[in-house]
Amino acid sequence: MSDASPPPEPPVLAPVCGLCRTPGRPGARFCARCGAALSAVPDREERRRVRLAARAVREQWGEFKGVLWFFLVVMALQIAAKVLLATTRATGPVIDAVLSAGMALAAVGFALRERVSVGAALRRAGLAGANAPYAAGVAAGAFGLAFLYFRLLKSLGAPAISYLEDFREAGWPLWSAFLLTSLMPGIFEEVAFRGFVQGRLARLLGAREALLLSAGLFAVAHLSPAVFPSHFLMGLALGAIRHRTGSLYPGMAAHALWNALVLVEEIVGAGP
Amino acid sequence: MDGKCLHCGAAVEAGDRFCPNCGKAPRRPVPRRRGRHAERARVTSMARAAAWILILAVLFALGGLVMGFMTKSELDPQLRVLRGVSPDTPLLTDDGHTTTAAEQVRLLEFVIVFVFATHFGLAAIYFALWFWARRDPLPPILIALSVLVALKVLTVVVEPALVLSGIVIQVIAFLALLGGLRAALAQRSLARAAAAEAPPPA
Repeated sequence: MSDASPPPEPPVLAPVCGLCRTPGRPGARFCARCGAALSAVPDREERRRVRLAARAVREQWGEFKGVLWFFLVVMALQIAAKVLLATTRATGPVIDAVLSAGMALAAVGFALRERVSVGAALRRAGLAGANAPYAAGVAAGAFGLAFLYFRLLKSLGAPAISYLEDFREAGWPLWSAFLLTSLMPGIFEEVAFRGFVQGRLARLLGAREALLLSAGLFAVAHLSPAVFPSHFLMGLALGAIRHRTGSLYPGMAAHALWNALVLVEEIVGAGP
Repeated sequence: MDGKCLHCGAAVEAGDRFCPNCGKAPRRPVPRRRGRHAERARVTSMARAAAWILILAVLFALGGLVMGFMTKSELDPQLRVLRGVSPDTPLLTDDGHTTTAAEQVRLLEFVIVFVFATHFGLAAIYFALWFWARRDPLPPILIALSVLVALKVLTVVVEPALVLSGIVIQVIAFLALLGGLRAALAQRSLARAAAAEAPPPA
């Protein structure tokens, strides 16, 4: 039991301080400059620990900066769309197409840098067991609340936003409106916000904070104060679905369905 | 000036900040510890960021009062005229659409509510973030930072002429929030590293 040899005693004296490299004096037990113990072994461990901690801080900040860069790229896309609108004769749908394509590129580019967790979320359907009713229930609840919020805005006199008018004026077919405002955002915003942002933040901070923060960034990135509450709610719902199912597909379906419902409401509401 | 250590009496040389024998400060009884300074700097950064969240909250609330009443006094003459005519009176808007007096009244009334609501809503969000930041700074600082950037971008998109208004305060707040974010993340990484280093309970 006790036949393990005791660890070798560290040398009591070291000629040079392990921490600040100041030469030690004969007989000194502590460095006169930095106060570190002059026994070599503990100091090397201490230095290693400090170095590893500093590296962890640097690496985590580097990964975190990726999220900030993603947000800035999304903001830059909005400014680019504005510049395009102001300097060219591009019509609304063209701008929408450029924004959608830019968002798709950004989503794929950033997702590739987070390919482990995004890849895992893309390899599973995530609808096993009680996940399907959970996803459907959360999505339906969020749709209902968002619908009530839009009703409230309308009752306050908010002007109705038309998504289809630009497409009609420019002579683009109806399916292009569904492609650019329902299907593509459904896919690529999910890859970006629930894939890249939520996946990376969950790794750095934890699942609960990742959910809150990705929903916040999702709402803020839409650049519309009036719909901030509804988008935050939607971000929470889609994030909860992503967390529970471990997959991006149910969220994509819910997201595309919601955007499609907004268009359908506009078509139906515009009728007699 | 050579002398003896305050604590153990060993001989120390001029310029020694620590006693070579006992490791304590030979003259002043307060030894410095490594890492203290960096940690204090991080705590200061986080506190500064939280303070800027509060400052922004107050500025949004004040801005809401100023902008809200300015908008109201600007639109009131129009509203008086529009309310004086028949609700069905057709109007031509700036962008070439036709509308009615009643619809235009609703729109202008909404604009006033909207200006008040967005400013006070932002003030409420920033107050809540400030409160949150006192418990746990990282998530609220990130949200405060992203909202600040988004508002600037929104100004560029909607009202480019106003892009430089308040830019100095915004840049200072941006830098303070960024510094606080970095410090908060570092604090967490170090805490996590220390927890991983700690020996498991027996």
